[in-house]
Amino acid sequence: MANDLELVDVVKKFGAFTAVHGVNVAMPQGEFFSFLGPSGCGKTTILRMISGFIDPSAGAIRLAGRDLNGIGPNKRPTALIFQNLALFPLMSVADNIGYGLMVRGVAASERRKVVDRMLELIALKGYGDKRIDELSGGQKQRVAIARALAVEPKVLLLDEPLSALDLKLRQHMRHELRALQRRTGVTFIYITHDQGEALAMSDRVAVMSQGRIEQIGTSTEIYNNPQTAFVAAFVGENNALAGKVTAADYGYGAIETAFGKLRAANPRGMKPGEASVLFVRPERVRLAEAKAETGSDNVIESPVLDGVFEGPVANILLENLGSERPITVTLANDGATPRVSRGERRRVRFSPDDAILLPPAGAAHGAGGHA
Amino acid sequence: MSEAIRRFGAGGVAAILAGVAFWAIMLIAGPMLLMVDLAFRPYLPNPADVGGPLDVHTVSNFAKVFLDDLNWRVFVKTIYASITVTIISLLIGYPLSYILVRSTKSGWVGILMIGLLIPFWVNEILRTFAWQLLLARYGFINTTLTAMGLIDEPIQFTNTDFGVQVGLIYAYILFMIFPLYSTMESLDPNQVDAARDLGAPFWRIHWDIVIPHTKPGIASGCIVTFMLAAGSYVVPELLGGTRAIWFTKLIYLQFEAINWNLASAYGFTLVVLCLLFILLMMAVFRVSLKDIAR
Ligand SMILES: Nc1ncnc2c1ncn2[C@@H]1O[C@H](COP(=O)(O)OP(=O)(O)OP(=O)(O)O)[C@@H](O)[C@H]1O
Ligand SMILES: [Mg+2]
Repeated sequence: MANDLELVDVVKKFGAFTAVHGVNVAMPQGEFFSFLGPSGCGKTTILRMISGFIDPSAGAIRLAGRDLNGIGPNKRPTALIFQNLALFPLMSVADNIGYGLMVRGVAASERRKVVDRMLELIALKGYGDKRIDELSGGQKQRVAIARALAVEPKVLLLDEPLSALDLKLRQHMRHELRALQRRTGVTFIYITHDQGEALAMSDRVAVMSQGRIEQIGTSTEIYNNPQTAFVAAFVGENNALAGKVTAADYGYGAIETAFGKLRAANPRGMKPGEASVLFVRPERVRLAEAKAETGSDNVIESPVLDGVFEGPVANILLENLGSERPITVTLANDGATPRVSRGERRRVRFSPDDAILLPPAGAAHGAGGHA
Repeated sequence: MSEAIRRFGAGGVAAILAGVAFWAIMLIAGPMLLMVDLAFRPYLPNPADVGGPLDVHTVSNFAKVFLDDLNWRVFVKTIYASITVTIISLLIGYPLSYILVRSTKSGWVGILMIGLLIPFWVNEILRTFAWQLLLARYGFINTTLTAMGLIDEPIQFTNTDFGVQVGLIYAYILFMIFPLYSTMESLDPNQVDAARDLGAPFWRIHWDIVIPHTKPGIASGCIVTFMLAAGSYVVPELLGGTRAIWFTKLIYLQFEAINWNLASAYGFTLVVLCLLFILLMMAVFRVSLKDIAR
């Protein structure tokens, strides 16, 4: 597949402050691509550069090989969906959807056809004459998408479009957005700080921190094989045990932590003597029976701080030596969940294959950043 | 209300309310009603006749106002000139307000606002005198233009309707800018960006998004500017002299002639005709009172 949109070494500076540090991404036509990162990491800035409202300080943005530099937002084949939707309150639903076509000089009869098709696409047939303030939150959301799609953009840019909706509707709209994207085949670039949203909808996700891309990959890659401590800690729940690498061999490494020596996968090839953090997902940690054989598993023992029942799962929190963040063990509610009492010392185990050694956050940048 | 009673006591609240009522009824509504009443009574030179059998309600004053051809000419001229003043104020005020609103983020807005306001710390009469100095036959503008060789003869600005209009625009433009600014400020900048993103060129964004949103501000700015221009006395007096006469001058002349009844009829006529004109314009531009109050 041809690369549709490319960002090459894109930098954005606001005065002395660098909001985006050399971002590189390339995405094929028709991809659902998400930028995921905490507030203030530069997501909106990237989106506004792609849509043309601000210019990059350095680097290039290309669409189908054409450099977009110097082309205004009203001339770009991109459409932006604003965080607050920015529907036009003084126009009807149909006029909102048809606005892009109207300013392009498309005849009224032709326009009406497109608007009707769009209304059908977003399942709001017959809503054309309604006023915007007569719509529910989810309906407004869909009208905003229809308004953007009506001009047949090559790339649809969405800036946290679901953040204003309540939880149920948000989950429903995830499916709708994904389905809409498949049906139209338009490249979607989706911005969010909600990792569940990003993982559930995207073909690929770029995880960002402080203006840099930490890692680009599919949802599974990001979740199962984080390349930096930031990604490991930001995406999903993760237990972190800090320490110093003592040995490294054949893709594995040993780390000396407050709980003693532990073994884990070492994909970044960390060397003995280096400071490191061991990450292991709560759902990969199991309770170890009192005197049972643990084989090559890592075993740690710590007092129970709390047990939290959450319905489908139960979390057991253990004291983490040398850190305020407790160690979480997530157990599926399969009817055989053991009872634990506060203060009791429990042994837990996890396989070295389920744990990963990474440099501490902020230690080395530029591990990711290539598509 | 109960909060106010707790703070000031029942007597205190009653005193405040009484004060406000006195101010509104005796000092605002009272004199106006008195003026209307005066307008419908004949002028009686002998004070002894006032309140006597001769002092009856009549429309004779209005007959005098309406039957005089000069009155009509001055009235039409006043309305026409005030419309021009209003339109030009709008044409200057709209882009200025838009620039102000768009520069709120950059911190420039404070400086621009002060720049607009400082001249208005000076009394209206003094400001108008300043314009007289600029516009006079051998004033700043004429001497500059002559020095630059652009004109041979000084242009007559003062004592013309043009000069009066320039002065009126300067005097009242803030009354246009403030309502425009405050309605424009409530427009979500994302709306402008969204229109632009959908492909709208500059002028379409204004026509489709900014102007419809600003309509209430445009309406109230225009009404206030128009009423102030049509009812201005100082500016036409100082810049128009004896040649460019405003309707307010006619009212004043009657007061000067101690014919308060006829003067009141002139004043009442001006207010009513201006109101009718505004209602007509609101109907033409489909602006409702609700819009203006928004
Ligand atoms: N016009 C600007 N001038 C100066 N700094 C800016 C400007 N726009 C953004 N920034 C800064 O750039 C950084 C990134 O901002 P951006 O809006 O891209 O964050 P974001 O990732 O979209 O965050 P959020 O999730 O809160 O929307 C922030 O620190 C912000 O303060
Ligand atoms: Mg943002």
